Amino acid sequence: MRRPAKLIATGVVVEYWLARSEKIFTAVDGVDLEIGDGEFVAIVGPSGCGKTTFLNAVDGLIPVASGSLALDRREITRPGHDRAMVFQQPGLLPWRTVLGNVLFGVEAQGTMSRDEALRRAKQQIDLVGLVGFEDAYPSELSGGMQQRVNLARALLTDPEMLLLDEPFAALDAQTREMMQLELLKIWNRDRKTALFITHDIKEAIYLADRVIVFTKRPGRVKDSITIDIPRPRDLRVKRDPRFVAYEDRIWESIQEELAVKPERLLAGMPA
Amino acid sequence: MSIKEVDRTLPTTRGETAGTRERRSVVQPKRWKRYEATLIGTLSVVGVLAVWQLVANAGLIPVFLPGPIAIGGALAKLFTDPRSEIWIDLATSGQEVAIGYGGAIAIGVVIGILMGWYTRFQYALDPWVNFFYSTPRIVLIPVFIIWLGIDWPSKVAIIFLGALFPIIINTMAGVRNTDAALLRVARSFGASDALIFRRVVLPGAVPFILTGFRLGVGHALTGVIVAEYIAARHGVGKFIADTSVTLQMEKMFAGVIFIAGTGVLLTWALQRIENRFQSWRPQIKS
Amino acid sequence: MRLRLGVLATVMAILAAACGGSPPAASSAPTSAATQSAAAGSATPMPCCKKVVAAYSNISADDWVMWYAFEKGIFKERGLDVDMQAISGGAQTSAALLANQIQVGQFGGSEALSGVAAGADLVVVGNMAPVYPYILYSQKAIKTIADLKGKKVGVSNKGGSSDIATRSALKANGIDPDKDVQILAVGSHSNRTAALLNGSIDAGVDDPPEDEELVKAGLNPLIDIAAQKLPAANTGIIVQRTYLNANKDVIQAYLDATVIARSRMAKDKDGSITVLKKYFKSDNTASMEKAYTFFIAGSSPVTPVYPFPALDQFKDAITILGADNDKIKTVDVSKMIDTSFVKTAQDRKLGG
Repeated sequence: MRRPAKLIATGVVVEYWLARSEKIFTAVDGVDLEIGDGEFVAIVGPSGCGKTTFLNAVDGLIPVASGSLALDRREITRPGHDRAMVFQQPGLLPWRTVLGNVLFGVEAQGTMSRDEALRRAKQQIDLVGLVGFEDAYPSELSGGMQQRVNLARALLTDPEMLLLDEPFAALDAQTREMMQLELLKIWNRDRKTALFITHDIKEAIYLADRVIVFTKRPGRVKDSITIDIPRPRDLRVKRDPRFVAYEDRIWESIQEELAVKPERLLAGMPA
Repeated sequence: MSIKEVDRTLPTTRGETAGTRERRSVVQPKRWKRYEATLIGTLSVVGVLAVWQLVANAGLIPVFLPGPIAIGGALAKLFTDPRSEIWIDLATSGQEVAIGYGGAIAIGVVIGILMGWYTRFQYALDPWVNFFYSTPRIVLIPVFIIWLGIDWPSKVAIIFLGALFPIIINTMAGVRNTDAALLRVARSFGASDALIFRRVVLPGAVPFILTGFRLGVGHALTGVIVAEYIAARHGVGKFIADTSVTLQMEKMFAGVIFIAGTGVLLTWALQRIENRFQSWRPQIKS
Repeated sequence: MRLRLGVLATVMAILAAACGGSPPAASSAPTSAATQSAAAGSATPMPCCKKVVAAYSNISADDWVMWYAFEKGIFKERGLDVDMQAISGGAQTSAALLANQIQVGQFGGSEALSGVAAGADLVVVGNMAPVYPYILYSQKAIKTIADLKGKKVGVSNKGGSSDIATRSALKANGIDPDKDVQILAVGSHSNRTAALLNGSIDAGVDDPPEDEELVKAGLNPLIDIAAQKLPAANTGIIVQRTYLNANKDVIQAYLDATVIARSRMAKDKDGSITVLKKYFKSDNTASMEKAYTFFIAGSSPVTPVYPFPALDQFKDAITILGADNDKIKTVDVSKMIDTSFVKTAQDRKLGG
């Protein structure tokens, strides 16, 4: 299905200045991609390939050195109300309750009235399944619950595009699986355009409409693989043969980047 | 569902009945545990005092260490003897501490915040802060007395300087210690600097600032005593100096108790305030 | 002004006293009856040498005789190896004595009185300045006694000799020392002189040889206390009773040396002045000569040949200290004084 383009990246280059060695370090070297409205795209790639850097550039936290990066045809230069990031660390204010934290995003943006924000916040808390914990402090919550608050906070700002930077990487395997399921349920309601970074190939395939593979550093788009598995997807789909096939394909693609010989792969040695 | 309820509804393994399963997750603490701190503290103090008095009674410690009862008597006499000037002394020292410490809080927090937030400001002030923090204030006292006289201004100056630096340093640390993850989140939502300062940095710095206040109390109290010791017309420090030089030990210790008692009181009050502001912290219990 | 170490020394005193206040082993060897009576009964000195630590509490001409005896080896002649210490201030010297760091202290009788009131067992065996040797000086602008009101008057320590002298003098001249002036403790005699010279106090008692400097600097001699020859326990020779009982020979030798030194000083002007110059670190011969006349050689010199301690020397101290310290009234001062050693020296005509 042909969706209107939401995010367009053309030849995006992102650089860092390394103070210690006084050199310019190119993290992302010419990324071209398009994300359609309502599309869920996951980016995977070898470690250090610049996927998180690219995501930060989309959020406007880092400037683009050259090339163009636009959301709804508006050039991205800094953080804005049209994007919301869900970081790997929950980043909750420890002295605020769950409710207080969920409100923080819109509070920082200052566009919503207090009453409206409260009303909607309670809805979001319900959506992420934390009813009854509005007055709990972050120290009283588990890692998974904290991430849900993180998600609710981002969703409350009603962004055009949702950005997620390995949000489940710090969780244990079981919670992780549960959170993936939850995320799809939540996402399914509004079907916001989403860009999701992860190391976990299974996770990427499970969640996304399309999986993009980055080259090794400096990163460019290597592959773009459409995931043709119908929604809604429950966790058992991970054992579906189509799923496994995608997995092999993406794994191989990444292996090429790491230039690992097949024999070493079979022996289970690291890249 | 509360954690307790979740625990109860977890499935039992075969052969185990729900009734025999122990509820291990949340144990209701015994009622008197709440007063444990006060209880143990009081017992400890009473115990030491009792031993001290027994030793004094047995005559084992001669002349210069009176027993607690004698000191208590001297303390009481200070308030009943018409010749006693204790109220003037308490008022004098009290005022000096209030002005000096209050000033240190007002100015120290502001400077600490500025130094924590604006790096250039910190570069500029750092050498001075470190220098004065390390300077023993005792050597400055005669200088202050010559500049400001022997009345309250010179004492206030010493107290102020003593309390100022712990407050500056701790406040600055509190501001700088802001969790980078929180700052990142705030910026990603496009928060203004002002909002970040008010809603992210400041609340996080409060525990540090309160610690600075607590440290400042000790310095303020030693400051008032040392400054008055050198030269003063009235004050608890002067009282201690005079009674020590004329070897009136019970009175001297009574004076010392005033100071120490004030310190305990102020520290306790600050601790209570700290606790109120930190109810969100996970408690370490053993 | 220097920081007084009063509390530190007092804490030391507490610790030392708490651990048991026995005098150091060196001088607690029990003397045989023969040596005792020999020292007490004849002009022959003890064989050399018994060690004793003695301290003076101020750079003040009250202690001139002690310095002379030390410099001219008179203590050694009498069988004493005196380790002479300088401690700054009477209160501190008293504390050092109570802490058994010194065995003989030369400081104010008033400070000894405070110690006895607090429970110490001290004995005053001599008094080097049985009258107030002071003049109350004031800054140039203060021309009359009434002008003193509201001003800062410096003393060494509260309850010390200068404090007693100052308060007595002020009271006698219609000034209430507690209400009309600010009494400031500066720590020692030298500090007081310096404070007068640099203007940080408005008035304070002083005596030769420094008073010449003060006059030159324009200060007014406001009240001549010395002229009134009022009895005072200004600089006592003080020991702990336990030490005294075990070392009568040492005390006697000390007093003997003091008496002999004083009598020689009357005939040795140059030698005395040299010693005074050394301790005051000054070359001002004129002031030293004035001090010599004042203390040693004049018509009624302050320093007596036989430095008897006496009850009436403590009267002012009892009044003034007793105002703040109820325990003072409980002290039997007559028991605090021991005139026997000076008497023995007098009987043996050691002063010529």
